[in-house]
Amino acid sequence: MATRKKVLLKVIILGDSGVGKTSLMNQYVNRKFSNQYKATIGADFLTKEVTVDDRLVTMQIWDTAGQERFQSLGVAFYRGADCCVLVFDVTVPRSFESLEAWRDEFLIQASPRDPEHFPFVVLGNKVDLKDNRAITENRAKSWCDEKGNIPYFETSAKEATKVETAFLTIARAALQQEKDEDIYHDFKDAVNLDDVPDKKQDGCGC
Amino acid sequence: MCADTSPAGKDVLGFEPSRHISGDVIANLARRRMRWHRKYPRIEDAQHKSFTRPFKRFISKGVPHHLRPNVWRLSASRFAQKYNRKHEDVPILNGSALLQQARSNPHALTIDEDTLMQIKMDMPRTFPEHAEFKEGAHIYEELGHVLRVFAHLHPHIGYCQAMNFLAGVLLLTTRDAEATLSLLQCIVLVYMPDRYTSEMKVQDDVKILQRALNTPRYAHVRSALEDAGVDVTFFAVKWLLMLFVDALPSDQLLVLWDLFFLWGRRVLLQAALFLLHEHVEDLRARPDVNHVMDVLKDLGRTRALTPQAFAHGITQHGGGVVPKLV
Ligand SMILES: Nc1nc2c(ncn2[C@@H]2O[C@H](COP(=O)(O)OP(=O)(O)OP(=O)(O)O)[C@@H](O)[C@H]2O)c(=O)[nH]1
Ligand SMILES: [Mg+2]
Repeated sequence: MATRKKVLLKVIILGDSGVGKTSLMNQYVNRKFSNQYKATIGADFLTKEVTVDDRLVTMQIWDTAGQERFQSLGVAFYRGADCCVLVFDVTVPRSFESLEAWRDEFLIQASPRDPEHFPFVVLGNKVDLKDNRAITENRAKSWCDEKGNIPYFETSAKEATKVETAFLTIARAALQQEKDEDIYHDFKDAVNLDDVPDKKQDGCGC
Repeated sequence: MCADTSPAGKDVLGFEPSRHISGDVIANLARRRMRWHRKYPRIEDAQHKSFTRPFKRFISKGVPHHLRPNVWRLSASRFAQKYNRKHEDVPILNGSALLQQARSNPHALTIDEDTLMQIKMDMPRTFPEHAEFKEGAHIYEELGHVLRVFAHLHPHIGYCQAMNFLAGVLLLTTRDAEATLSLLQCIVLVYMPDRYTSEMKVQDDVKILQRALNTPRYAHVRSALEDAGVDVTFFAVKWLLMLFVDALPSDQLLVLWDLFFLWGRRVLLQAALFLLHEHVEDLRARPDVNHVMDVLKDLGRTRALTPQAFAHGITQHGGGVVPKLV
């Protein structure tokens, strides 16, 4: 292959309502924090061009609604994701306990080809609120280790703590995932697995 | 005369105006106001039997802003009656006593902890840019009361994100918590049943839109979206659940709501088709996902239409593909 095709990486941010998904995405893409963000309905996304290990890639970052009842809409947004970011609020234990459910839900709805190795990254957000901290770094880390060594970062969207670093890791993980998918597809094309005559009948009653 | 008053430099709902409204549109609004005044001098007394063809036609030509609370109330009660004849009765409950309680003693209502938390979290995230939605402002506090009383009255729905925006626009229009609560119940229970519960039936509405876009008439829109890699779900879920709040500038939004209260959910689908059709050149200008989403997220950059033109546009779309759902 002579030309490198333009790479688009799709990243999904999940987590309970209010943990700071919209704030994190905006801190990363626009480098600012505002307390003027509205609650997210459905989903929104922003894109950002970044260089990852000398490759220019476009990250399409999807920020989803956190309220549980919106979950059934997930399929449409999760499809084709290259990396999934799970966010909790270090001052709200419930949001940490939800991580497992978010992860499972993602795997079911996005149904990646190789769920065992699909890249996740966990962010414990709002670490600037030191006095209200409820989930320790150790506790979060051990959960991540249990789930197959998920990278973990302690962030503050408000003070821009670790946001850049976390998203670089996210981009790398997504890029790796993309490459793996590519290899799989090249392989599939090479052996022509799909080369079965189309059996579509006429007069199908649809 | 009763002009559509608004704070200096703001639009009718008190938001930063997103565009210039031309003189002929303004003149048109003034003319309609006069005609309403002459034809319906005592709109306050009108009962739903006044839903004669001329009254409906009057509504579709644009409702003067100060009459909206009454006109919406009339439209909604007529619509609810029709709905209740076909479905099991939906309880639109009077919440004035409960609102009073909510104001004096917030703990008087029975609402589960999660719902309360979610409402509290969303209040400052409703219209943060709007002067009346700052913490402590009257309307801001009333938003909390309305949402809490709704959750208390309808525990199976509780509170769904997006209802804050609907209640917000209702409060800014009616300036009355009781009227807001009753219209909010109409929207959530009657006009948009099961759209704000975990059933998320808004997906059915999105499917109707998708089907419509697959017909030859909308091939131009479909290809513009496909070329940019934009799926209908990306923008339609938000449009529908928020009844276009945030997507349309206030003047156009309110005209859409006038029609929505009159004809129901199908207006939203027809409006979606009309707006996509109207913006297709803009969408095509750059087949890029960001560009297309920017256009669709903020439909305020386009020309202001008179209410008639907007209503006419809406009625020209969706025929045969959008079911007449009541
Ligand atoms: N102190 C502090 N506050 C934060 C931080 N990140 C977000 N917030 C605040 O937390 C609240 C919720 O933030 P959002 O970014 O809107 O949360 P979300 O996860 O997008 O919520 P949904 O859209 O409802 O799913 C807002 O008031 C933010 O200002 C942070 O790092 N530190
Ligand atoms: Mg959000």
